[in-house]
Amino acid sequence: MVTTMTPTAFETWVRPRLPDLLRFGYLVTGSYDAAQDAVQTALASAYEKWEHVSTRDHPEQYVRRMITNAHISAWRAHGRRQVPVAEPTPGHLPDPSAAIADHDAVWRMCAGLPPQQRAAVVLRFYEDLDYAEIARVLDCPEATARSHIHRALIRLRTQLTSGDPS
Amino acid sequence: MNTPTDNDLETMIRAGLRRHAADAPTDLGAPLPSSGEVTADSDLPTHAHSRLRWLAPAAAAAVAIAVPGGILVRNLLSDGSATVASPSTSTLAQQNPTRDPAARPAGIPADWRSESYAGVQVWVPPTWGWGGAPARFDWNGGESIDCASWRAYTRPGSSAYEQMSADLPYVGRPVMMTDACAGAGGGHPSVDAVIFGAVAIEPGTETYSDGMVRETRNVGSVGVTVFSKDAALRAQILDSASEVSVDANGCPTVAPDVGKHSTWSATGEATGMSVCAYDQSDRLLFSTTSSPAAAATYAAATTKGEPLGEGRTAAPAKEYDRVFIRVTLASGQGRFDHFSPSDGQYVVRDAAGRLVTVAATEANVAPWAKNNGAVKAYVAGGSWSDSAPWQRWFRGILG
Repeated sequence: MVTTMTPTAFETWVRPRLPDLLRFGYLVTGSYDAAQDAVQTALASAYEKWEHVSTRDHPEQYVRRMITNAHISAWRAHGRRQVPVAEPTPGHLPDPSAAIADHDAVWRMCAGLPPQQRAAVVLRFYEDLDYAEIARVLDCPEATARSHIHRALIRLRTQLTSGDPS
Repeated sequence: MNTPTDNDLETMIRAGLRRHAADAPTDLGAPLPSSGEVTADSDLPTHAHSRLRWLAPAAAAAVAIAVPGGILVRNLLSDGSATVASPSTSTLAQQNPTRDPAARPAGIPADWRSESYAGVQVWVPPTWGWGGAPARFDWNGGESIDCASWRAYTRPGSSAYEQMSADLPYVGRPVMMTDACAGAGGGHPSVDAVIFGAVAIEPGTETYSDGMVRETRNVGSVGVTVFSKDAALRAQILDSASEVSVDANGCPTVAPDVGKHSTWSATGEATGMSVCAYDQSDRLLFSTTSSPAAAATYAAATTKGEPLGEGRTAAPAKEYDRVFIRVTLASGQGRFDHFSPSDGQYVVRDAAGRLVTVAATEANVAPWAKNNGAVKAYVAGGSWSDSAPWQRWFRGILG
């Protein structure tokens, strides 16, 4: 079905999906403002090309790619985004501190990843996409998507067991 | 703690992401682009006050683009049978009221090299390296980041990315050389340096307690600052500063278009090559040249490509830093190839006039990137280069 490029059609598509897109943007960028910026950029581009985007099999995935690319652009322009989180504490901790530390360790691990790799982690573990779908969203080989996830797991494991915050 | 299994880690990541997703913004912070207030303007720099992007009138982009690149680039490499203008005879240079960019200003030693940024060019001694400069990034709340010692730098003839040196003068540009800069305190170089476009530095002269002197002048819209205890050196460098439309390395200050500004012949030997790199605001970030031998090697390694896929154009996306390789032939013809550091591909206008993509290989990257300290300092390789043997020729994304 071809959707004509009208504000109504675009808005009808976007509005119910906006919260999901913002959550995805936030997890990929790690920043409230950067998430808004990345989603703004992606939607502006999607609107401009809506006649094309809307006819794709999975417009949602395409827009997520746009969000990721927008963040990569900002990353390249400004370098690594600093996201202050608490230092993960190695060793055994009682609940609920342990859970909080784990969450922060995850956030810190994500903050240290290059944007495409971070997006792969979000797509895999938040969006529950399989590797083939991740590869389509990120426009990369499936092997690269697997590699992104594998390396992220190694990084988190190292971080948790060594206390290395990097 | 016990070493967690992959399943443990996956569970932890899922929980952590769910937890943090709850902190995500609940509104876009701007009207939808379909609201009528939007200019979905891909030409606007993505980082330039992006929160105002949707309300920015198209005129803003038009102004940014129109001055003066459209005309100037067309003059540099024209369509059809026209030739590639050499920097010294460029119409651009003749139109520019300032000096011929390739002409060495009086008093500048023969072995000094030119350095340009955003249309301003200076001349520096050949041994000087490359580094950063105080800059402002929106992710830091617009605060100036002064990398204190500005400690990440590269040397001429090397792809090594080094830390602070007490003996290497350098050229600095407002680029995030390393995330290590963030949070660093202020300071000033302890070595001679010239820096372009530094934020929070006003024109004038300042003497520090260690005897270092800063002298800053505005050249056009770009601040040029020289740090040195040697007044003659400061004057020599600052007096060499000029506005240019095409710099001494043949790079236009506004990015060229591969399709429109390349002429090419299957015959003729490549005799020269320049690297012209542009930031996402379309500013010429830096340029260098390579030897005729390197140019010939490069040209030979970029002859086979695949036609551009459907929907792709020769105009690369502006959301990435862009590198253009300027190749000139003995015949006077030449071409601009676009190299995308983000995906490791060239877009080239081939001898038949088609636009083709050429995958990066060691053979076609080495001639301009290997042991090129400027490339190492300012061009970040994308994920494509993670496993490539030539990754070391580019800066890591984290510095």
